[in-house]
Amino acid sequence: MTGRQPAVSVGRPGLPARRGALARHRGAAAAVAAAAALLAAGGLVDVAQATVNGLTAGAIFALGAVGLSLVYGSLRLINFAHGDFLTFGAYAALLANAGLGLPLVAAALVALAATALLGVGMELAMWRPMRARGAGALQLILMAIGLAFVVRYAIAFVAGPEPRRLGVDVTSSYDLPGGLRIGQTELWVTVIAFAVLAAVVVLLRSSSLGKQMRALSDDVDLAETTGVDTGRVIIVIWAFAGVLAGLAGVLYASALGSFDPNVGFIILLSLFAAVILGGMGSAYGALLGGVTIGLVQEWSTLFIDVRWKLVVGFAVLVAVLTLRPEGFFGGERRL
Amino acid sequence: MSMGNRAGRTLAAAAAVAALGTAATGCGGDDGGSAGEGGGGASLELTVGVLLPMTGTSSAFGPPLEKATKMAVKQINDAAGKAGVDLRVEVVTADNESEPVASVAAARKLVTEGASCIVGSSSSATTIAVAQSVAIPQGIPMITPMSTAASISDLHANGGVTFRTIPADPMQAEVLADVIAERLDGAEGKTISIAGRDDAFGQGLTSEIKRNWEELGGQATGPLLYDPNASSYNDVAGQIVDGDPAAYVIIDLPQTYAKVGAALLRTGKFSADDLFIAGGQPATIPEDTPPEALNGAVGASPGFPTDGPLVEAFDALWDRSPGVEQQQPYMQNGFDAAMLCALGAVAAQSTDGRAIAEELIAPSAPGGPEYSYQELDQAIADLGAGEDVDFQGVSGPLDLDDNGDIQAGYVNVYRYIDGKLTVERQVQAGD
Amino acid sequence: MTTLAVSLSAFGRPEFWIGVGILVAIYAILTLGLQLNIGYTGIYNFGQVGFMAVGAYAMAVLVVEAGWSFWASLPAATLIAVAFAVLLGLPTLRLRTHYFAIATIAFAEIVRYVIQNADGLTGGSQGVLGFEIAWQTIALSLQADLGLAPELALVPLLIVAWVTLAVLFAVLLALGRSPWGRMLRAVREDEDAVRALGKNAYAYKLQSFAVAGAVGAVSGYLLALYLSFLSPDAFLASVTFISFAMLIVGGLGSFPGVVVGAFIVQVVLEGTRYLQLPLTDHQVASLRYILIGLVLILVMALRPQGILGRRQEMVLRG
Repeated sequence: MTGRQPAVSVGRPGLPARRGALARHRGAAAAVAAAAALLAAGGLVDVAQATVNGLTAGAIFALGAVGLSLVYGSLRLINFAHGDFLTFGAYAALLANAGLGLPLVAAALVALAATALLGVGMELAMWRPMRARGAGALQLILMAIGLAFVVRYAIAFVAGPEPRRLGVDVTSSYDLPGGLRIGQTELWVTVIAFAVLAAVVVLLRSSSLGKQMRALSDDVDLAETTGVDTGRVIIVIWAFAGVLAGLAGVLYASALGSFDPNVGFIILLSLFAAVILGGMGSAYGALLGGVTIGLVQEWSTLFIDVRWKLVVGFAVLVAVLTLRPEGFFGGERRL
Repeated sequence: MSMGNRAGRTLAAAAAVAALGTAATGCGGDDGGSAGEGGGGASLELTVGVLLPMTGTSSAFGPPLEKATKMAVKQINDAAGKAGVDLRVEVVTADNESEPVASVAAARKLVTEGASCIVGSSSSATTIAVAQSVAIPQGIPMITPMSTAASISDLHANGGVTFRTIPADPMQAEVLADVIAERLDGAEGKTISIAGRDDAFGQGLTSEIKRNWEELGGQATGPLLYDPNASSYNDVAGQIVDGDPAAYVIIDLPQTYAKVGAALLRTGKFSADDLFIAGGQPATIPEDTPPEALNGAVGASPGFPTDGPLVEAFDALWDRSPGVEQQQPYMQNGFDAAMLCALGAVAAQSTDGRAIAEELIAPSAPGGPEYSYQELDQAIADLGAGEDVDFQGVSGPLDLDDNGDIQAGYVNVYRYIDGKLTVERQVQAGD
Repeated sequence: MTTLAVSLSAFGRPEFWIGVGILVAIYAILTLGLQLNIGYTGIYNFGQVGFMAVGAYAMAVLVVEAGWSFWASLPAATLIAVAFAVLLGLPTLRLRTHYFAIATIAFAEIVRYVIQNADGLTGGSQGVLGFEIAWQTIALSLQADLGLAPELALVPLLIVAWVTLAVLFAVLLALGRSPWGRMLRAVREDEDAVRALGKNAYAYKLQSFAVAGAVGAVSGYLLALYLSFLSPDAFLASVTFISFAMLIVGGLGSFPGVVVGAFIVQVVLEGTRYLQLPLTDHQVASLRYILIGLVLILVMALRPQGILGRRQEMVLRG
């Protein structure tokens, strides 16, 4: 692996640092064309409502994708079990809330801690020893898939396949200006998700730990030579990814209303799409990628039958891989 | 050691396994086959296989269905003893996971365990799969107590092994359309919004209801078919309530409806008082479904009688039998299906699948004295002596036609009131 | 004695072994393609079930909707699967391994979703039936000729499945030993060196991928005949992952290992249906998948070369 320039400058997150004016105009033109097409298909209110729905979904995707991207960047490991980390978070919250009687907020915090422990635990028990033995990509991929099965079906084994609910209100909604509506829980989920994402951005930019994580994620060898304690930072990355995944799981389960052991796996490919769209290894990219995928999926329902919504995410994934595998928002230059 | 030797040895091992399997058939006797063919008074040991939806979307019906069929089998064994007929029935069960591929595996397992008559399956997609892959090729009769898709009737032409103890969709759809028209004071000029889950159940019923509604002079938007595994339903809900329709028709199963119903309520434009649903709904609103999404909804489901001495006897029997307490719809149909298997075996004086299949319709149809399960011993005695009977099921008169279908039956019109499914009235439909 | 009982009676019945035997053959054929891709060429094809689905549905739709004869539909459907492989491989094979893996998973899921939702063409979740009539006629006459009892109705399919497996096995083994096969291994071991020799590594990868697609389609036809009913649920991603478990148990780089691995994993999977543990049916089903997961983890961690693979076959550097 040759060294690379950090794909995103430490300036404003998400904007490619040195693109020319032409490129910037190209992006704007595309955005205007897309907006026009949407309005033609749906009308202002429908588009706005779809945007609201898309922001909720997108924020959750973003939370899931950030961790996935950081782990890939620093370890070259695609955590196929990431979707199931989300499921784990949701069920841990359920256990704490319904099983142990904790209030919802406390239960959510327990879930975050539990998922972080899961991530760190797997790093210490599986990934670190395998790396020490020089395990190759195929071994790691298959082990990640195996882990995904174990986590998902262990949850199913213990908790059963029937759908569950966190004790949240799924029926109330708020009126928004313009005739739009958002569910009460969905609003909270969106607000919390974006707040956390903002905190993540600040953390990654400003704290020394954040900078170390980004450095590691961009180029492991280079980071080591600059004296970063890679072992420790990797643990932090896993804990970080676990917390975000757990939170995404709890929020997703709340917004959806009812969830079963497959809930995280179903959106795994959408998470991959977000990460690839944003550029593998770029946390900011994953964030923007997640929001984009959420929006695109909801907007697509204005054009095509709702049944195809998930496929849209997959199609974006394949399209990005085909046309621009390094992603749009930064990330690796090399394939 | 070269690859060639390894390849050769592995192939030989594999071939040996296949050969062993085939050879074993020569030595082993036939199990569950025709024990006791021949004249009256022969010893019959029948194994009835039951496909249960213990997991998956129809899992609410699994445990009660298991109880109902086991109840039936106990009644049969007791009655046979009383009638002095040498008949013993055993039950084997398998989880069909409410989905087609697993159902086929489950059905094969039942046949492996000796079943020569199958009660099942639950949803129409699973019934069609089992019929095509197991029942028809192997000549094993299957009686479904829950599948209502119209297309199942076409399967009977192929081998004559598919039957039902429940009326098919067209009957429900017609009644539901009439009920909606009644509540809206006529169908003319009224637009309703039709939606359903995207599978055999939803696809079949939504198109039937639309057809019936349009024949009554009304208009309908949809059917909007949605993915039961979608990550969110706000978009679906938005489209369903679009245009302020006079009523909503939603064909879904409880687990998915929990999510769809919540999304509908969040639109602020939906009220369950305007909602019409079909069969497949449990006796009480499930915990994960918001009650306001169902309370007040009116539905039509293939019926089961709710009063009369036979039903009271069945309810009493249910209450004192071991197993789950809560009855569910279709349990009576399952009870009757198991009964028919046994009656067919007695009539055929054989436990061979094809022989039973040929004798399933006659005991259910008019001709001969009418017996219910309370006179089971007399029914068995008559059949054993070669006479015809007209068995009356708990779920209705049965009276299967030449396609193994029920033509005349009850459709229950019900409503969810305070979380409970309450039957308001019964309509007798069909000829 | 009662807490862990296995219903051994099932193991003694021929129908159990016939069912297992057919599934072993189907999965072994599917995994042969995987072996060619991963064990020989080093391309991480995680979408093999997608080719199975394309082949099976193309055949079914041609027969049921377009009225083709079953026999004519087989080569046509195989060509369609190969076309899909080429179309998918062209843009994605030049990507790094991880990206290719994700692209292939996405492909398989897209195929499944399209099948599920394009119900005008594929019948959606209602599935497709009626494509096997030509086969059934042959199977029934074979059954009569061999004098088989009704419980053994699947024996003709068992025979055909294993004959097919034997033929494809021989073909792939020969291909593996041919100069073409050696080039594939060279691509896996050192792609840059291959390019330095002036060979088009990309073309070899594409060819390998196309062969895997064809082989996957064949396993799809056999599955279709076994189920007599096609539904999108038969082609979940877990099929590919189970195939991978068989691949690594048997050993990378070994075609005979594929058959061994398929047999072991399938017997364990089917056998667990007959376990009588104090667990609910669904817990047993979950246990089955946990087992697959553990197999994947433990084999990769402790014995990555599986049973018949060689340690050198495992590329230990990513």
